[in-house]
Amino acid sequence: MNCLIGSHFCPCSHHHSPRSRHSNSQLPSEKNSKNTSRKMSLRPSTAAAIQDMPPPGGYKKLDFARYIPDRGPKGWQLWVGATTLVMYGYYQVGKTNQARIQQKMQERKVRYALAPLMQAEADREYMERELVNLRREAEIMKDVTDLKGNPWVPGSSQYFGGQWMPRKVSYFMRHQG
Amino acid sequence: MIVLIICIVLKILVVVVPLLISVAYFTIAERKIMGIIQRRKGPNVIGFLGLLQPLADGLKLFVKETIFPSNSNIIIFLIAPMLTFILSLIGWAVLPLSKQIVLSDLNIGVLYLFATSSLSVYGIIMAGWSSNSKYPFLGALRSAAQMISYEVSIGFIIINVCICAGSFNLSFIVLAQNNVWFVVPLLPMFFIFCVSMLAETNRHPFDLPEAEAELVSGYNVEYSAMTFALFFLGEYANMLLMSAFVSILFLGGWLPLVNLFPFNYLPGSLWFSLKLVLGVIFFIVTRATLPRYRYDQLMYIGWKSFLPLSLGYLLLSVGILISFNWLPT
Repeated sequence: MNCLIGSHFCPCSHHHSPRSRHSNSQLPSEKNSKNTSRKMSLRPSTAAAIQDMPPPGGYKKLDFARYIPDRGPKGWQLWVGATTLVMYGYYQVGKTNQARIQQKMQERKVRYALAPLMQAEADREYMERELVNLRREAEIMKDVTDLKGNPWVPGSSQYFGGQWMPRKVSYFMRHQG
Repeated sequence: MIVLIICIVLKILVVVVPLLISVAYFTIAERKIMGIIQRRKGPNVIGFLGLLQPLADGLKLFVKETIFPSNSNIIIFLIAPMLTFILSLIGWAVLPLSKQIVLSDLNIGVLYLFATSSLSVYGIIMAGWSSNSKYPFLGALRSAAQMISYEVSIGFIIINVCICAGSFNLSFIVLAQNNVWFVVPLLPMFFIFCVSMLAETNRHPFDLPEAEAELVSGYNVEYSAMTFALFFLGEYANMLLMSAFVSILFLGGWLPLVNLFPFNYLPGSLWFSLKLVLGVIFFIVTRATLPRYRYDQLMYIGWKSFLPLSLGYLLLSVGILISFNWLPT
């Protein structure tokens, strides 16, 4: 059927072929050809309508959701691995702490064992200095009497309590420059 | 006496001068690494590969005019950046750089570091408040609130470490990691500490208080030239301090990776520097990678996630150590 409006202006697409919208019903590639007996091909109106349907069997399934690949260790594996690592770490910390405590105890025991020897050495040193000072005191105080009029006894205490008091360190160092 | 003073001054200079050079080159490292991550070159014009860029930046800040807002409280306005800078430097006094290489081997070194980081909040509040302007004031309030929020969880994490080590002395803490670094038993705390130190230093993704789109550079918007340089230096020195702190608490400080040849042949200070560089790279890569947290999300994480987690892990640590008789004393 010929279109009353004219194929170029008619918006109907179902009875016009794309070819019919061109002038003279010729494609640009056919314009220079010598074949002038070509006619417009119009579909007969008795033909069934063409509908844009999916292909037979349907379209392939389209995964439109976000693609998050499930790879690597599972959650429970991460938990187990991390817990094992942490407990191993605590075990090592505990071992280190126990070793350190043992070392401190050993040092303390060594100090306890050496204490009498060290004290004896200190006492010996004290006595050596005390003897030097007693000789010096005897020489200085040879003509001096005490409060009761008796000759001065070198090494007699400055205090009246009767208790033995060790010398202060500054006493031993008083002659040093 | 004079010789003693000279020795002390020299020791301080030996720590502070390389630190300031490191801070300057930290800025160029940040720009270069962020540039590489963003598929571009960083600064490469000033000097070979841009290595003189920090000097150019420093010179620029030095010669610029320091503007004092007429409405601001000048004395506090000037004290704030000085305080921030000084606090970030004095924290380095207790950090052991290697075995027996430490300025001051305090038995309460951890407490001292914690105290200086808490005092740095004052510098920020003073900066924002003395500027007498709404953006810096808001930025200062948010920044201070953020810092004190994350300090709480940092405190609990530090207690975890000190319970495992049995001392507050930083050298002791490093020596206690001879068998195993504390990152192994305290792995979740290590992650929480890394995130908390980002928040503590107002770094990305917790830098909303000083983000330009939100608060126009935050508490230091009114600062320019030398005062801004002091804030800048203080912030980067703080980052280095935190990196060093995390390497001492969790990564064994100056101890080698494995106590075998050739690892233990390298000097301890080199190992310490490598671990510090790891922390620096963490700061930079995090900045280039992650989006910024909103302020309410930031505070939610600090109070409702990290604090319960760190407190719970502390109870777990103490429970395990007591149950198996693994306490240090």
